[in-house]
Amino acid sequence: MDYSPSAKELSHFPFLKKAQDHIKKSFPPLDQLLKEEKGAFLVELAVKRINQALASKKTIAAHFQTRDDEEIASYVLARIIVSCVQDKQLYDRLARYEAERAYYFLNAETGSESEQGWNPHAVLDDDQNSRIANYLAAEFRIDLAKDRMPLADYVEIVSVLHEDRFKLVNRRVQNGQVGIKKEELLELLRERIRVILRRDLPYHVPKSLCAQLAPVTESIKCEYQQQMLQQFGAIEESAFPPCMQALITALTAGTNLTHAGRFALTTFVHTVGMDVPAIAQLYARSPDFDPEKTMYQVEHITGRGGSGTEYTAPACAAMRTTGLCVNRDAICENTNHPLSYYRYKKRELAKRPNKSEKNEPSPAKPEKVGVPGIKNR
Amino acid sequence: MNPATTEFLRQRFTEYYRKAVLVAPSSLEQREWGFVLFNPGAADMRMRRHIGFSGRDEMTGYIQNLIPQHTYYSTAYYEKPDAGTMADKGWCGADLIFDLDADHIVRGPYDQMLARVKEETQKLLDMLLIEFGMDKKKIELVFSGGRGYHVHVKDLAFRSWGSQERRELIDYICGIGIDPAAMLAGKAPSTPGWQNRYRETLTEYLRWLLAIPPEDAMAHLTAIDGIGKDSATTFLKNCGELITMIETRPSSMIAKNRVLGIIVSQQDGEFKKRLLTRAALADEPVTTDTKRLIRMPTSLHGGSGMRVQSLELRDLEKFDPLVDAVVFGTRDVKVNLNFNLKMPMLGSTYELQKGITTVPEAVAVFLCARGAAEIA
Repeated sequence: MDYSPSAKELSHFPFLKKAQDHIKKSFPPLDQLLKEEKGAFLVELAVKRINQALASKKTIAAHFQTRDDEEIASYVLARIIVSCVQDKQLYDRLARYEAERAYYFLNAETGSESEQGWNPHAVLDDDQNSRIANYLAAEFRIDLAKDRMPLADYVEIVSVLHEDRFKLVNRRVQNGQVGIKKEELLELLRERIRVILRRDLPYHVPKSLCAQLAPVTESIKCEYQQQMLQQFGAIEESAFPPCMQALITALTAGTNLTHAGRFALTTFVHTVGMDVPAIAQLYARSPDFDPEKTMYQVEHITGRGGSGTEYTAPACAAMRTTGLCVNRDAICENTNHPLSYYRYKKRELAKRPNKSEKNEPSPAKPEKVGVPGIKNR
Repeated sequence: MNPATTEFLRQRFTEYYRKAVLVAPSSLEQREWGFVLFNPGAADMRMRRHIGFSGRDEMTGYIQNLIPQHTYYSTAYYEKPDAGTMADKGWCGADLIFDLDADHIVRGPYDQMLARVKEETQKLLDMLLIEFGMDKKKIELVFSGGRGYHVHVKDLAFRSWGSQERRELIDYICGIGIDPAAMLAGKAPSTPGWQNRYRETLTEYLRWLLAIPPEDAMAHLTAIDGIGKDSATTFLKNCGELITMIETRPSSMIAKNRVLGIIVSQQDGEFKKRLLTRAALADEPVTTDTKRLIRMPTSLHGGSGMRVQSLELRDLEKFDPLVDAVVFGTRDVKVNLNFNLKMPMLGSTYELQKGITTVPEAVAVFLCARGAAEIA
């Protein structure tokens, strides 16, 4: 291919190998750079990036105030910094943010009537894709010119997505090819970017370098913990949405939850901060409680099992599909995710007077109820 | 099973394993092995597992020496297959497995169960080959020795997949998670797939409603939650039009017809039942389990005495387990049968009375292994 992305293009997709090659000569070695004023500036940019990744409302600007090589450097530094923080959720958030940025830039390249794109001179092919878009997609093994994708590639991308429309069974599948609509290709590309960026984290950062970055990593850790505490903090079962309450009630009543039910409840309570033994305790309310099996399932869903994948709780749409959306109340009307319900209701409850013991930092840890065992057949 | 019966089976198995050419699985040294031994008087089956072999000779020697009742190896590949815990084994991938077991599909006489499960297997293979585009050469079809078939897909493309990825495939095979709107979006494709299966089912269902006596159709519809008498009447009136719509403009027909929406989303309803006859009813947990043990082809199934038998895909149709997977002979053996029984084997049909009776050795092994008889 005789096309080579411009510096500007690379700065919008800084995870491309070419982008990192591009800045190799621009800066001195990292340990030295960090001692310089320039280094401090870049770290500041990187921290901004991480804070954006953590923010609930993200603003992505198509036009940068900084130089292209600084932009790329801030991407790399942000990844180094989170690697020093060593928090899985932080890796997830950063990878998701970077993928969202890329998706945004792919859509905002040539702009619209109201807004000028960041790459107004981009040359589009017959499918309305620019060269950088094609180049980027090819790097991630997606062909934007096609309305289909090899089965194995497709399944690897969508198996973590919860939307019904992406399920293989709802697709046209013929001779190992899965039919895809044009607009969905970029969504799949975004997901693929996310997975690959996440897979490469954490970096193996030398201890000395992390030590140099310690002030920054400490402040991010604090900031992040603060945020999590605000969002979820101590677990407040009375703020659970009705669907989750119903699942817990069913458990207590000795009903066998469906796979979808167990999955929804486990991912939900995991995200609001219950640790694995506490979740297992929850299941201990069920009369047919099997500690070993439960631990295995819980560990699997929370990403501590073999797969290493952490699942997120299904959204309201998915809950409706699986028939788990029940007893809807007024808050549900303005909610599209059980977790948003929880966050909202918890805030509301906290506002009410006469409610004490609100700010315990973490749930009390019950005794371990079982040892993750071998799966017996 | 009394000790004499156990001993009889053990001797027959010994005879088999002494002469049989055992076929080792690919990457033998990366597989974990598990065995269940003949153990008269033991309350439950105990499995010896976490066993690894460095080569074919070691494997054969072990089996010939042990004469196991059941022989399994892992669908997974491990760095250290003989490590004592799953965590220490070092999982490095697994074959993709589909299990079709009559137990999950239909109950009835053994030969009928086998016939029915063969149909499901054929549907599965068609989906794998035509829809998934899998390579024939990478698919191994195996009669399980019991009540079904195992399909091993040994393709590197799927080997490293975890449960979630495998779930996408098995959900497709079993028709789980179908979204009606997606099924009816756009023109019908010219090739097989769920969109066509769905539309065929819908047409078939609506035609069925028109074909049965109107009062039966009314009774059927009004028995469904959310459908009243009036809407049922209207719906029946529009059935013909709906059938045409499936052909001409299906896209919004469910959104526009409340009753139809209820019918297609009913969990165990008539429509769903008809739709699932077009799925292949493979056992889901087997496919999503990446650390499963599976019966070794060329070994004997301890619950039937039949051979776990690999076969060519093209031979499935004419494959008769009750002939082709039978390894024992015709010498007379006296058994004490627990109940009256009619069963085909080796081309003959045996009508057997409860009590002491003389049958060919192959039949005796089968009956004893299944717990239907003891050695007399």
